[in-house]
Amino acid sequence: MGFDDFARAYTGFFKVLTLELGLKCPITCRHCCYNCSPDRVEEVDSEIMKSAIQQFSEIETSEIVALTGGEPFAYPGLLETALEEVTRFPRLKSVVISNGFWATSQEKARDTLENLPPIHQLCLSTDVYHNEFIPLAFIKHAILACEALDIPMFLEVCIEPEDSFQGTLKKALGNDLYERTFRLSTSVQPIGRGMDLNITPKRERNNVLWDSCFMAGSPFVLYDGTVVTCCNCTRLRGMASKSMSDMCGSPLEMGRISQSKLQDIFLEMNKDMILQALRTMGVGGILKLLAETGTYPKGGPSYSHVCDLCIALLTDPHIVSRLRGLLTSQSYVEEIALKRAYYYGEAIEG
Amino acid sequence: MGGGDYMERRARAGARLSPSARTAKIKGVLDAAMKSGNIAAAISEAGADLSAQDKTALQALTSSELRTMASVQQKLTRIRGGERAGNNNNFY
Repeated sequence: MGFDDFARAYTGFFKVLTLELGLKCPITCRHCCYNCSPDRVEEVDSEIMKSAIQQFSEIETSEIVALTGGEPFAYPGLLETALEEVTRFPRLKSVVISNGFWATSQEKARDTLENLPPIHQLCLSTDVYHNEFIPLAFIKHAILACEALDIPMFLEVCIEPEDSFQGTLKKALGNDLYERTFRLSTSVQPIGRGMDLNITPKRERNNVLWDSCFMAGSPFVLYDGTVVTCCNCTRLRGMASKSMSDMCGSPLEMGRISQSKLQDIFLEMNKDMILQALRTMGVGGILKLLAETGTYPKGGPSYSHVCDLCIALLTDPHIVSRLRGLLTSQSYVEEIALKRAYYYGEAIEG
Repeated sequence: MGGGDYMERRARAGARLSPSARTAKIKGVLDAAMKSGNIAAAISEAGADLSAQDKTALQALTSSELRTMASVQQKLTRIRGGERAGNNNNFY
């Protein structure tokens, strides 16, 4: 499975399910969006995790289970169980997102990967923040071990505040390895410790999420079994005593694995007009809609990133309720259907 | 039997298109409209089988909306194509 397969699935609807194994991580990056650290004790119940994978496999669109944390390799038992579970379902592939802390030598990296059930793709996060804790030599060991074991991999490199890290990376990996390793550029997300960095995004209005949030189609299961719409929604946990969906019908939180069937959550997300508006009109389109109908609060909510704005809007009960009303209009229903067909090739009934 | 009957039959046929056939037709019309900038011509060339409702919705798209849609589609294509760093937009 190449990166293209992952990216294609990730921009689709309910093709990728991301599972958070826990919040423990051996390092404490300054930009970490989930506030992970060695002291975090939260972890997923293995039965909930297995149930989520099994239920996901029964959904017609399912393709990839992405395992994240915290640091998945800091949970060797859970990681092995999750990978074994994925292997039970031939339609599913696994992607593991790691910082490579375990790749202390090339032999150790190879042993670690060889002793696990198949990983279909490994994503290694490395950038100026991770590099404060994880030497680039570890990343090199992990890449070479993946090559030796024929495990497709890519690097996820946060390029904010600046992209100078690429030069450091090139020097550490050597030209050949650098050039043949796929590198995905990402931004600092304004969540967790990342929020404290106060980085102004470089390409705010150019960001595709402004016009069409492709990430809203790939749900994220938190360690406690809560299904949220995307990784950005992890900031909702602990924000209030009641869940967001109970509070205001926000489409950002879709239920719990222990209480709802994933198939029902899939059907619910498929017909949730706010969620589908997010995917097809983007936050920008939603903002325009609110402005045109006089609902947008005067001055607007303050935000530094498009995801910030999304959370501000879609956790406001007044705005959520107004949007629910506006989006019943036939013209919006049709616009969303046309854009789902055009952007995502999704067949719409009716 | 005039042209009106024919159009009515076509519209009824459109209502019977399967969801995937309907999606493909809509995508075909929009692709053609992005190239020509003429949504009406694109509908008549590539979307004759669509329902009257779909045709009306497509016809309602303005040139500016078509341009925005083309730009979003380009960005999504770049992301799906997995372009190399230094040459790609941010994934997010």
